[in-house]
Amino acid sequence: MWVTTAWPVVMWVFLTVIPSALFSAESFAGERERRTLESLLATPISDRGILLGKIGAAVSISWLAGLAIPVIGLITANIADWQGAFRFYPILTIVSGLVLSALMIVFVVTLGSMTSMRASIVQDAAMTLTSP
Amino acid sequence: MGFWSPRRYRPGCSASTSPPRRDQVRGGCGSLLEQHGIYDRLTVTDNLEFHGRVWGLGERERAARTEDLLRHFNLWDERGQLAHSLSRGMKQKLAIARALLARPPMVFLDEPTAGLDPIAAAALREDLAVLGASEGVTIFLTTHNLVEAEKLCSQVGIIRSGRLIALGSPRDLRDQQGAPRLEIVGRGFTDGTLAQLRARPEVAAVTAADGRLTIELHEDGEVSPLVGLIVSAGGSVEEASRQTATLEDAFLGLVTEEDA
Repeated sequence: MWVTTAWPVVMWVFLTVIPSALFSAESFAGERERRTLESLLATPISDRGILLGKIGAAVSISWLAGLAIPVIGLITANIADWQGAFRFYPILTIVSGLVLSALMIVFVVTLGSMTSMRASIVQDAAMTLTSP
Repeated sequence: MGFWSPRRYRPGCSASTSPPRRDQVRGGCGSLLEQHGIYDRLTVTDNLEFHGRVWGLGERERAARTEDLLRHFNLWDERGQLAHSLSRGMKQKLAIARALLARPPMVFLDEPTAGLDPIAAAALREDLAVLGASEGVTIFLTTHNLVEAEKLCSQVGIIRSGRLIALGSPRDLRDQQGAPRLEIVGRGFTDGTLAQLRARPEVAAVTAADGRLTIELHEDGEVSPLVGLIVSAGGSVEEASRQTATLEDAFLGLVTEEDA
């Protein structure tokens, strides 16, 4: 019963905000904090290339990290309430989770990268992103 | 590192008649900026590997250039170490190796020896002099250390408040600040001796004070006949040294003229 509700998808999508915010806050502010940003900007990569690279890397890592959420949920549910056979999510739940979490991650990472560009340190960027 | 769009453009080292694009400028320049920009969490080799990929070098070329440069800078034995464990001097060397990795035609080095101890700074200066010759690159060195500029540079530009106030070889700049002079320490410098010296064509002016004779020379004036003249006139010479203006003297002179 548990795996057929919409809750796994909702949790999956909303919990991916955390890694997305953390990775994107690090993107530019982290380079600035470690004083490597100027050297990166002096390479032949265009500004757009650097921005897209940062967003792409944060999206990929966050999306992969987000996959842990339904996997851990599934394992926990099966251990806590073992009914003699391994229960899995319906295919629609998996597809919805993958697509919606990807959209949420792209939105948060883009917002986070923009914030990170203007922050002097990672902590400032993370605080701005996570403050209500 | 930002770029301003040029308000005026005059083709110089580039054959193109239009202003170069940002990526063209970046692709033609290696740089060591005020901060070395080394990734502390990567190894020495991985730092160069990353930049080699960014510059689009092939795998073999990356490996060969990395080995060449690390061996040249005596960093080969540290190639597997994380960069954060390197000394400041080693990081500067690694950053210069990174700037030279893709063989750019121009390399900008901003205060490469700043913050280094005298031994490390001297070693780095020597490396730079050798590399400048062997790599065939034009190195733009930004420095406040005029001794360093005098040792390493064939052309020196002096910038004051964002304006280029002088440009030339170190010798040209020194020569602008007056002709060489001869300092003589000794005894028996009589008025007759001074008069004989003043009569010499290579001598511009003579002053004597406290057993020290200062002879201002015209350009390329010979020194040894003057010492011989003093001795033959009965003077005693304990020490004689020909002195020319240093680049620092030239710099101070130019700045003073500029402020006047």
